[in-house]
Amino acid sequence: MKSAFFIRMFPKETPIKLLIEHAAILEEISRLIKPLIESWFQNKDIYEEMRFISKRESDADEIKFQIRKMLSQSVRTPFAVKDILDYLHLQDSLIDRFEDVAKKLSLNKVEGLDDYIKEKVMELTDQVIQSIDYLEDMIREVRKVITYSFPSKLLKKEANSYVKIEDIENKVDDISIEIGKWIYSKKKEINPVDLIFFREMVLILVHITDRAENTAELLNAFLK
Amino acid sequence: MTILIIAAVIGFVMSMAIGANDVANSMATAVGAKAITIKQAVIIAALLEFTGAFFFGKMVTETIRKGIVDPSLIKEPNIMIAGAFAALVAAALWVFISTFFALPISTTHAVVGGMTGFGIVAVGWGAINWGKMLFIVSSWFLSPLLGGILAYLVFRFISWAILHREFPLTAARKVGPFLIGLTFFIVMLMFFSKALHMDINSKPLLWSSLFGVGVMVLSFFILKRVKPKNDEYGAVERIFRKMQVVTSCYVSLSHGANDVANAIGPLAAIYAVVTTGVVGAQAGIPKYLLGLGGLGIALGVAVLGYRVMQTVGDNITELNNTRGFSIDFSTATTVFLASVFGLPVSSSHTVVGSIVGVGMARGLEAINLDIIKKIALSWLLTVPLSAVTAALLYKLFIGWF
Repeated sequence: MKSAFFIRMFPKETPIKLLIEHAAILEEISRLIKPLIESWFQNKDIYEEMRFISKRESDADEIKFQIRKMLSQSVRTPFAVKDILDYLHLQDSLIDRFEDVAKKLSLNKVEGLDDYIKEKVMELTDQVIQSIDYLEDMIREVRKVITYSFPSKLLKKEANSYVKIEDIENKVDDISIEIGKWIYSKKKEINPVDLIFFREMVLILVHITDRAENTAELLNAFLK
Repeated sequence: MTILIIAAVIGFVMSMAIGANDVANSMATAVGAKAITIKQAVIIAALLEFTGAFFFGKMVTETIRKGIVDPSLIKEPNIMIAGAFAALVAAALWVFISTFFALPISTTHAVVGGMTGFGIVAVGWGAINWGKMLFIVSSWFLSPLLGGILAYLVFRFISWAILHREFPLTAARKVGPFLIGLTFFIVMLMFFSKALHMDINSKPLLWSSLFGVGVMVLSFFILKRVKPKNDEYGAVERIFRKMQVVTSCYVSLSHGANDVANAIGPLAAIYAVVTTGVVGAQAGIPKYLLGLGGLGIALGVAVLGYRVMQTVGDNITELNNTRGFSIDFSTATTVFLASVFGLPVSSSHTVVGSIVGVGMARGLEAINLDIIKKIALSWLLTVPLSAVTAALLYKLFIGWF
């Protein structure tokens, strides 16, 4: 039946739909990271949580392969294939970074973290989660942008979300400086290996926001 | 007379297959965009396909009947009967092959190839009206291209005039009636020209304009009642959902007008020879033959269309009504224009052209362009293969008649 070629022409699954599914996993993982860090601060076993995050990361990888396969099979979207693949790479690397945090935390416990630094790290985590929320909103809105044929109203909304992520990145920089100062102030009290470990963990969180900003910037650029 | 009855049966079965196969061309986007239900799609398509075939199908049928093979060069009536019969059977075979293997093969190309194959074998290369053939073949390239360009422009216009405005709903209430009026203007102009056989001069133009304006005013009041529920864009889509019902009808009408020839063209050639006893007589195509083709298409839609639409509706990504409207309007206008010039074009390929056009205008979330390669391949293969099939069948049949 010729209906078959309509079905082939309009695939039920689209790269944009899958990118949104991929972003939903990113958001889910970002929300899991906060209780994970809280548990780590309380010296609880986080192995199961870490395994679950790894499993979701594998699910995201499957979606990534599906998108790549679709784009290699001549499925086209309103955006350049390269832009989509670059975006996918960045979004996927965010998931990888969260998995890195979970794996890293499962490796070691750090003694001597006071309430001040725990609060600062939780503040940092909240900002990281917030940046991912905005990013997820942005990619979710892309469908609307396509549906309504790229109206300036929606493009402005997308640009505003990008600005919000940029603001978060600035806040995160400030928090990271405070955390950095605290780390170096403890060089005589806490085991240096633990301090290096803790610093690396904080840096991954900081890099997530940096990367979220880059990802939002790319999205914003190819929407225009 | 027996051969005429057998040919009529094959022509009827083939028109049923065309109806069942091609209902997706006219209704897939409307069902995909939830503008109409599957049941409504089937009823509308059946009625409009018949109307298109019965009132507007003559020109293209004439082209298939006597435009490809020059009848004046065929001396013996039995050559024409065997040849047209071979072309009909070859095209029918291709319809079934394309149905079975889900190939985007055009029945139009198959029947034109069939007539060409028999002409070359029966009389020689000189029997083919190459000028006309060139015109037909060029229309196969031009129709998807024109459909694509038109769809691109229509969707760009909708984006500019409605979707990019500060108040899209207000803009849609103003622009929508104009687009509906324009659709009715074109349909009425074709009706005066092709069904009532009037020359396109000031009188049909005036009546068509009046009709178009009347519909425009009426739809202005209907669309005025559409209120925004959640957002303005949603209301715009609801307006286009109503408008897409009109353009789906338009596609069905134009499809019936163009594609009835694929089943009835060779049958009309046989009819002319059987009833007059000579080849090349100026016998017209009786209305009841077009009616038979139209009925077959309508029956094909009614019997198998539901399943086809269900498959399409369940398996394609949801389309927006603004896109559906742009695709339908462009396809129908292109196929309708081709019918006016007596050009047998592939409505399936024109739809594909229109879809690509909207895609080029960044209107679709995803399209699989892989199908275009398959279409290009089918263009290269269908005509020679159906020509060879018809030539072989002719050799077989000529011994019987």
